[in-house]
Amino acid sequence: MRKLDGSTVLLGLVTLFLGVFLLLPMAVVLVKAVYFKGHFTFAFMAQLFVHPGIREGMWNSIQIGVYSTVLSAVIALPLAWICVRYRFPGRPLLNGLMLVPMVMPPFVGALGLKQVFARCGSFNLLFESLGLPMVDWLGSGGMLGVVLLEVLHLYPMMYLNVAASLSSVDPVMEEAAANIGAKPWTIFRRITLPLMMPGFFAGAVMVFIWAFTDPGAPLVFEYRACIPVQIFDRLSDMNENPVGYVLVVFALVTSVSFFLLSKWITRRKTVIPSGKGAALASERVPTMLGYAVIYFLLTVTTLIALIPHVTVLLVALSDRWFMTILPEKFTTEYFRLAVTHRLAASSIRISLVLSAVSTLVDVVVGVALGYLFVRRRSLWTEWLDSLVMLALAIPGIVLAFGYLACFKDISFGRFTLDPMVDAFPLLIICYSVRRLPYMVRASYAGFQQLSETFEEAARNLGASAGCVLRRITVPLVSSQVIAGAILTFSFALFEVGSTIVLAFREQQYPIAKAIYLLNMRLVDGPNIASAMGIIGMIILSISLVVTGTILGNKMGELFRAR
Amino acid sequence: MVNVSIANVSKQYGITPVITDMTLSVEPGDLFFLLGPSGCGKTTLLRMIAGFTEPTAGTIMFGERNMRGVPPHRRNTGMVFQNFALWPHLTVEQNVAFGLDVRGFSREDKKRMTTDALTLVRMNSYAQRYPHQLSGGQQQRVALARALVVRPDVVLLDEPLSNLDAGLRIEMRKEIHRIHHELGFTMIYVTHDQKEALSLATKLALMNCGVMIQVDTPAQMYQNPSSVFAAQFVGETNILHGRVTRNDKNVLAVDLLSGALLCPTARAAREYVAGSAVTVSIRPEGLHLTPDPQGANVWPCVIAETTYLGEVIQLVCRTRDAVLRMTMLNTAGAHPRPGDKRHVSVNPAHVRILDAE
Repeated sequence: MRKLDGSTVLLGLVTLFLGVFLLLPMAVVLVKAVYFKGHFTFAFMAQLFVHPGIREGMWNSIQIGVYSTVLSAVIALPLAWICVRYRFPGRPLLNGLMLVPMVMPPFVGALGLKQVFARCGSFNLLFESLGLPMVDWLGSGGMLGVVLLEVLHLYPMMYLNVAASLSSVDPVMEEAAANIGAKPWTIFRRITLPLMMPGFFAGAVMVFIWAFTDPGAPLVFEYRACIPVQIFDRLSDMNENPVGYVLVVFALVTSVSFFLLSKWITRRKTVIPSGKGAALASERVPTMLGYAVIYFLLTVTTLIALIPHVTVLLVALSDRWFMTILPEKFTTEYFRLAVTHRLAASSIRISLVLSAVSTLVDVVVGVALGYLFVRRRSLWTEWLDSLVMLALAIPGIVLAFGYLACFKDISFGRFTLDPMVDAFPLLIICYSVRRLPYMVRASYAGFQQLSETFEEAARNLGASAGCVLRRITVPLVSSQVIAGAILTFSFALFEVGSTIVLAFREQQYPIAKAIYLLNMRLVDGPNIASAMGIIGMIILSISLVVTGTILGNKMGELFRAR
Repeated sequence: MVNVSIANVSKQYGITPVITDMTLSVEPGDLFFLLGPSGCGKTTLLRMIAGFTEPTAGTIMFGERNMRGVPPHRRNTGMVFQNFALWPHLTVEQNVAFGLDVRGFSREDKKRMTTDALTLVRMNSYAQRYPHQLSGGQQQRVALARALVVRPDVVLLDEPLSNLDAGLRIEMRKEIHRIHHELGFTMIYVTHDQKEALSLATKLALMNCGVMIQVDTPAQMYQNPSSVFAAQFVGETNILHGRVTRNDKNVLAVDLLSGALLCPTARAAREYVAGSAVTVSIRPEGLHLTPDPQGANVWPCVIAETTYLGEVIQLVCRTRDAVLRMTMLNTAGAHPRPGDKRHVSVNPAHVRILDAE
């Protein structure tokens, strides 16, 4: 028998952890959807196709997912093309700007957008004063607003994937086609496009899953006819009524199928990265007209992307803003309230702690796994890799619902997993499981770039194992690890789906749930909530800037390399 | 400096043997070459000396010290890697100083020794650069300085020139020769390039499929290969097959289809009795066209191919059972042409009689 070494123990522990906190809840949800009061029945499953409210919700959610994906592609594809293929002043800045939308989650943006685009919001009032007809900006009941917010939040995800894929297309492949007489458009259609498809699909599926299952923006718009909100609404009677499980199963199956489909497509057409600096050779300097088009596109995109930020800021600063185009009076009172108000202040603190702890867990586990996946390849690590990545396909609200179904009654002595008593353990676990893929991928990339001979050279020159780790390995992978950690932290800070499901007691509310609750308070709730959103955004921006300073100009590459 | 002795070392990965029962000894000051085709186990052997892998069986000794279980960082070797392995986050100077750092040298000593090492490889003006700002040859020099600066007991070079282009390779070959000459370090050098080995080695070990074929000086290896593999791998040669007809005290007669061959018994790898099948290796420089069809070791042949190379002409001629390659100096007079019927004379000094294959 083989000796039990550290890496085997670690793989075993992580497998066990993911088995219990990823696979088990999903299995329980699947079972409870068809097994009710002691016997199997597909009657509740049939509700998906019979019940008019549920059918409407399904249709709406699918539309939100599809529209968001298509729109994100429309924005991201030209941007990626421009940024990878053209050299122009200000391009490095663009990689930074790409992060701006990511620091503003849809449910925060919704607070501001509601004020500006509502039936009696700024735009319609402006139109009215100009004698133009009023427009239903948010679309039937708010779907358009939801799509807009999802797109403005998610198109960077598409951009990063497409840009990475595009920059790994070897220009030699295009040159080879040109050499045998293909015209530029033919080259794009027959060579470049197929080669960048894997990146596009990877991005598209992530955008779809996020938009399709995000309950945050719809809740703020009070747009209830979609699956994630319907799941949320059925939490209270999940023990008596299995329809909640059925909805969760629908969301789960849809997400996972799309995820697997994209993995399958990607697997078949993997781009083999070519020699050094291949992408550089294909960079072009645009013509005058080209410059005009590029800067016009960039300006418009950036301005549109900033709409949620600006409107949220306005709401947070406005003293009175009712039936007027712009606020009548400004105040900083709501910022003061955001840090002193019992619910608001504690939620910010709680979110920071939860995010930090789950990030720490992910860094430790993710770096170890990244190392093992690169250096100790085996069937087990490949299988575990797929399992970790599966977390990307499981929506937060679905996972949290599964946790409730599984762990509500579990406790060991004084330690309990019951979120009604103490939500923190499950929240931390949930955040960690959901963000682990980013950390693993980031450190995986780091270790893959790190040739083993770098470590051997140091060993050879007399450095002990600890010294090699400290002076060679860690510095060489640190940039990837830091990037992964920041991504993990910022996503956890504004995590909505699992937070609103798992946080039950007001004194344990993280930011997302506090904003949800405050938004429903009539008088100053939305203003305080907006101020909280801005504070969260500032924290995120600072952490991104700090990383940028530490990493220097490598920052942009990192988010691209992922 | 120490001598490195390898005794009965074997290495297996799973059930695949990589090195089988290998024994050799590297003397202090040697520039010792491990030569062999790719996949013959030479890099594995080097990595076992460095301590990155342990042998499955056998012992590796540095002087009187058995190295089994000694981790790489306690072996005091200086290794130059095939891909150089310069740490990208450190400058040239920091790369070179790393080994001194972990050995706890003072700041002044570190500075002085680093500068000395960089001067030795002619890179002192690049101290503040990062590896990615250097050309391949420059990176190679820094890698060499990094390995030498710690005054290792033995310097290990793993195909150090294989990532360089042809011109640089020859330049760096001279450079390594100079440095070895100046400092007298014990060096173990892995390569599959026999020209590199012949031109640099003080001693070389030829390996194939994890087995040691022959250990000798370059000249001995070339003149007296002990096997057909050695004859073919080190230098060019012509291979013929025949049977020993007579073996008296001084002269060995071999019957080849091409003709009879008489040579001193000293040219045989071992004692052969009359009747044994043998393989004969004849170096190209041991073959000449001759106008005189009489005499020993002269065989009829037909010119098959001529290649004009300037100062020499390369010839391929066909005898009754073999195709022979030779070169002739481009002297005045009529050059042989394809189809010409001529005679070829074999100089027994360039012949080697080997076990039949």
